[in-house]
Amino acid sequence: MVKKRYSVGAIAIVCAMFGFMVASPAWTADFPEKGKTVTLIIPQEAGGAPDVGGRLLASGLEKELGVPVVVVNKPGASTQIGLSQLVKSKPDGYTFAAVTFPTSLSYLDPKRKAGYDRKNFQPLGMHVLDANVIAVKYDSPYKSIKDLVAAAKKAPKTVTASVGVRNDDHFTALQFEKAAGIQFAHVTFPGGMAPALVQVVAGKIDVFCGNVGDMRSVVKNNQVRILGVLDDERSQFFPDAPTMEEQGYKIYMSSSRGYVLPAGTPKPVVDVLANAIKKVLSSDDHKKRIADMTLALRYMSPEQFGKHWEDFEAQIIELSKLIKD
Amino acid sequence: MLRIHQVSALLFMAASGYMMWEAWELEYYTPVGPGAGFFPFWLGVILGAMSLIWLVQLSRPAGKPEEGRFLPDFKGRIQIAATIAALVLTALLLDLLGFQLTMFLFLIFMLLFLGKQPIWMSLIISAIGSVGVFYVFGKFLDVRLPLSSLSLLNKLGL
Amino acid sequence: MEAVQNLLMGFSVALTPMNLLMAFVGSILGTLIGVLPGIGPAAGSAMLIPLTFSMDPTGAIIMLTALFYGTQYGGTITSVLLNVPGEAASVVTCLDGYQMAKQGRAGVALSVAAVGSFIGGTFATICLVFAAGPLSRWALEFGPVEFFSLLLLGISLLMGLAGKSMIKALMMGVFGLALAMVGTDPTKGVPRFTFGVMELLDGIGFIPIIMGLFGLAELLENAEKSLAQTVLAKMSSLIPTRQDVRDSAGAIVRGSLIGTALGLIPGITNSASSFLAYIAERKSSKHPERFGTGMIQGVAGPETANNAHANGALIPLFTLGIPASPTIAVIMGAFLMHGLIPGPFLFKEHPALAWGVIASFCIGNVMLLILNLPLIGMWVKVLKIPYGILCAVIMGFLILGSYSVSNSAFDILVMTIFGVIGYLLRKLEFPLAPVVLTLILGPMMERSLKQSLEISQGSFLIFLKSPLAVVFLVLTALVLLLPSLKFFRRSKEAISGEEPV
Repeated sequence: MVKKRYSVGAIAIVCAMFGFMVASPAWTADFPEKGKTVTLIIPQEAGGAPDVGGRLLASGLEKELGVPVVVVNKPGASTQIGLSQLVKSKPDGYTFAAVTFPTSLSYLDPKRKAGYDRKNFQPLGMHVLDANVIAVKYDSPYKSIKDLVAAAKKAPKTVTASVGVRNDDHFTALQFEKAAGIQFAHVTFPGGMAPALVQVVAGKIDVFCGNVGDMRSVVKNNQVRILGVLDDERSQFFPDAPTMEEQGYKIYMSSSRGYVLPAGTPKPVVDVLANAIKKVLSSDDHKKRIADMTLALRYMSPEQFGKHWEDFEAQIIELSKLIKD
Repeated sequence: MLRIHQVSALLFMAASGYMMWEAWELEYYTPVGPGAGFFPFWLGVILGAMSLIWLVQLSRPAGKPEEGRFLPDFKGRIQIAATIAALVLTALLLDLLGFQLTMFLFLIFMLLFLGKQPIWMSLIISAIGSVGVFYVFGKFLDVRLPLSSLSLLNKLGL
Repeated sequence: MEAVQNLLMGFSVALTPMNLLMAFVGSILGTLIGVLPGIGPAAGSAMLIPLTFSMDPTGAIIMLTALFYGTQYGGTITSVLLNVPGEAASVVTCLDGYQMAKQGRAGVALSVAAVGSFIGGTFATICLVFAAGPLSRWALEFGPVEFFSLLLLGISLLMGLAGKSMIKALMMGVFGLALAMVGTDPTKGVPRFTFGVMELLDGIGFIPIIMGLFGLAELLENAEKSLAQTVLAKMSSLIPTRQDVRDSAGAIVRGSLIGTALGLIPGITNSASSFLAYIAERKSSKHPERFGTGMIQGVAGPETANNAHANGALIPLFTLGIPASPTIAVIMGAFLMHGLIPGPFLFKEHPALAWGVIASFCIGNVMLLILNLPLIGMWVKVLKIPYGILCAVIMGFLILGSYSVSNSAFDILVMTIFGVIGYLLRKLEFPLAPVVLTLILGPMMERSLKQSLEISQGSFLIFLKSPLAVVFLVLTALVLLLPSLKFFRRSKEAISGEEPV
C-alpha cells in the first residue's frame, strides 16, 4: 500500500515539473497568440505532392505568423479521416487542413458516410490547380485528339484508358467520352497514378488520364506525348501541348488543392490566416519551389475558393451520374 | 483441448458464413469480370469447407491435438488480460490525454505492476519513453505526436 | 567499357568529402528510421526533403537515396531481437531470425543479414551500371496480365509454407486473403467488410496487423509466465561459424537475384520480394521442415532480397524516368524539387550527378555495412535487459509504431486485436506466415486480375495471349500438381500396407 501511494505521488511531481517547464504566461488577444501552435492537418500520406506543397506553405506561414506551424499527416479514406478531425476541432484558427478536389468531395457519395459536407468548412484559399491531361505513349498511332476519337469511334471499348476510382482521372475520362460520344475500356488503378503511367509507357494501356504534374519527366524523356490539357489555358510547363478547348471539346478537370478551416471560425481570424497564406504564395521562393514540382500555383481568396468549390461540387454531382453501378 | 479446437473450427465456419452473407449483398459479377462480392463469396465458401475438413480431422484419432492446458494459470490470465486492457485504454485515451501522459501512465503500469521493477527505474524509463520520445519525434523527425485535447492539459504542454 | 569509365567518373564525384558525408548521414538516418517502427522509407525521406533545399543537389540526392536503402538494414534489427518488424519488408525475418535470437544467435543473424544486405544492394547497383537497358525492358514486360500470373505462382507456393498440417496452412492463407478484402473494392470503390468504420475504408493497415500477429502475440505468450522473468535469451557468438557461412552463401545469391528481378517490376512491394525469397529458401533446402526454428537461410535470403529490391527498384527511375512504386515516387519528387528530371536525359544533361549518385549507392552500402557490423554487439545487448523492462519497451514500440504509420489511435486497437488473434492462432498451432503472404499478395492479385479483364473487356483468353503469362501459369500448375502426385503415390503405398496414413 505504502509503495503504491509513493508512486502516485511521484507521478504527480513529475507531471507538475513538466507543467512548469512548458507553461507560458502568454495572453495576447490577437490571433495567433504567442506561444501557441498552429496545426495543419494534411489528410494524405507524407511524401505525396499535396504533402510537400502543404509543408512548403507551413514553413512560409511560420515566418509570416510568428508562431510554429506543425504539419500532421492524417491519411486515409480519401481524406475523410483528416477532414472529420478538422470538422470536430475547435473553430479558433489554430487548426486548419488541406483539401484536394475532387478527392475530398468523397462526402458526395452516401455510401461512404462522411458525416460532413461543404457547409462544415470555411474556405481559406486555393493553392494549386493541377490540370488534367490526356496523354499517350510517344510512338502511339494517335497523333492528336482527333485520331484518338476516330479510333475509339470505330471500335468502342477497345482503346484502353487508365482511370482511378471516382477521382479526377476518372472524371476526365468520363467527361471526354461524353463530349466526344466515345467509349474507352476503363482500366482502374486505385491508389496513385504511378503504376498507370508505367503501363502507358510500357504500351500495355493506350491512353493515360492524369495530371500535368505527372508529366515532367516522361515528356522530357520522350516517353509520353500530351494530346490535350483540360484547362482553359495552356500549361506553363508544356506550352506546346494544346488544350482540349482548342480542339473543340469544352471540358475542364483538375486536381485542385486548397486550405480550409472548420465552419464558424471568426471572420478576423480567417482574414489573418488568409492574408498570411496569400503572402506566402506570392513569394518568389515559394513560386519557384512549386514550379519545380511541375505544379501550377493558382491562388484564390476565401470567397473565390468557395465559389470554385461550389462549381466543382456541381460538376462532380453531374459527372457521377455517368458512373454506371 | 479437443473441445477448444472444435469450437475454433466452428468459429471459423461462422466467420465464413458471415463472409458469404455479406458478399451476397455486393455485386457478384460485372460485364468486365468479377464484381466486388465475387472473391469474398468464394473465400467464404473455401474457408467454410476447410474448417469442416479440420473439424472432421479432429474427430479422428490421428488428428487429435496434443493434450495440455490451453489457457494459462490464473496469474498468467490476469497478466494477459491486464496487458490487453492497458493497450485498449491507451488507444482510447491517446487523443484525449495526449501522447506524453498516456504513454507515461502505460509504461508505469507495465513496468511497475507487471514488470515489478523498482520505482525509480520505472519513472526514468517512463519519462524517457513518453516525454523524451515526444521531443525526439517532434524535433528530429518532424512528426508531432498528439497533444491532449483537454485545454487544461494542453496548456501545460502535454 | 564506357560504363566503367562513367562509373569511375561517378566515384570521383561521390568520393568528395561533402558527398561522403552526405552518404554517411543518409546511412545513419536510414538505419535509425528502419529501427523505428511505423515510419517507413517513404515517410522518412519525405520529412527530410524540405531540409535538403539549401543543399547542393548531388549531395541532397545522395543523402535521400542512402536513407531509402539504409532503412532496409535497420528494419532487420527489431525483427530479429524483438519479433517486431521495423519495416514491412522485414516481417519474414521474424520467422527464423527471432528464433535464432532465442537460441542466443541474434548476433549471427544480424551479421549475416548485414552482409547479405550489402551484397544484395551492391549486386543491384552493378546491374544498374552494366545492364540497365535490358533490365528496364524486362520491367516493361509486366502488364496487369503478366503481373497476375506471377502473383498466382507466388500464392501457389503457399503450400510450401505449410508446417505439420496442410489444411491449417491453407486456412490461414484464406484468412489472409479475407483480411485483404476489407476496404473498398478496387474498381468501383464499394465499401466491403468495413462495418461502417471509416478507418477501414482503405483496408486494415498492414503494419498494425503484422505488429500484432508477431510482436504482441509473442509478448502475450510470454505473459503467461511471470513478466518479471530475468532475461529473454542467453548470449553467445556474434561471428557466424563456417557452417553458417556455407549455409547462407547460396541464400544470399538467390536473394540477390530474386530481389533485383522483382524490384524491377513496377508494383511489386519489397515485402513480397523478401517473402518469395524465403519460400525459395524453403523450397531449395534439404530440410524445409526446420524452417521457423532458426534457420540461417531464412534470414539471409529475405534480408538480401529486400536490399536488392530497394536498389533494383531505382533502376527504372534512372533508365525510364518513371517511379515504380509510391516510395520511389517520393525519391523522384526529391529529384524534381532540385530541378532534376530523372530518366535517360539526366545522364546527358547532368552526367556527373547521375553517375555520382549511382557510385554513391556502392559507397553507401559499404558504409552501411561498416556502420552496422560493430553496432550488432550493442544491439544484442538489448536482449540482456531484464524482461520486465524489455517487455514494457517493446510495448511502447508497438504502440508508437502502429500509431505513427498514419497518426491514428485506431491502428493501436487494430494492433491489439491482431495480437490477441495471433496469440490464439499460435496456441491452436496455426502457422502465421501464410496469413502474411496472402495479405501482401492478395490486394495486388485482385487488382491486377480486374485490370486484365478490363483490358480484355471480360475475356479470360487474354491470359493465354501473353507468352510470359503462359509460362507463369504452367509453372503454377506444376507447383500445384506435383505434390498431389507425390501424395497419391504415397497413399497408394499406404494402401498396399506400408504404413497407415
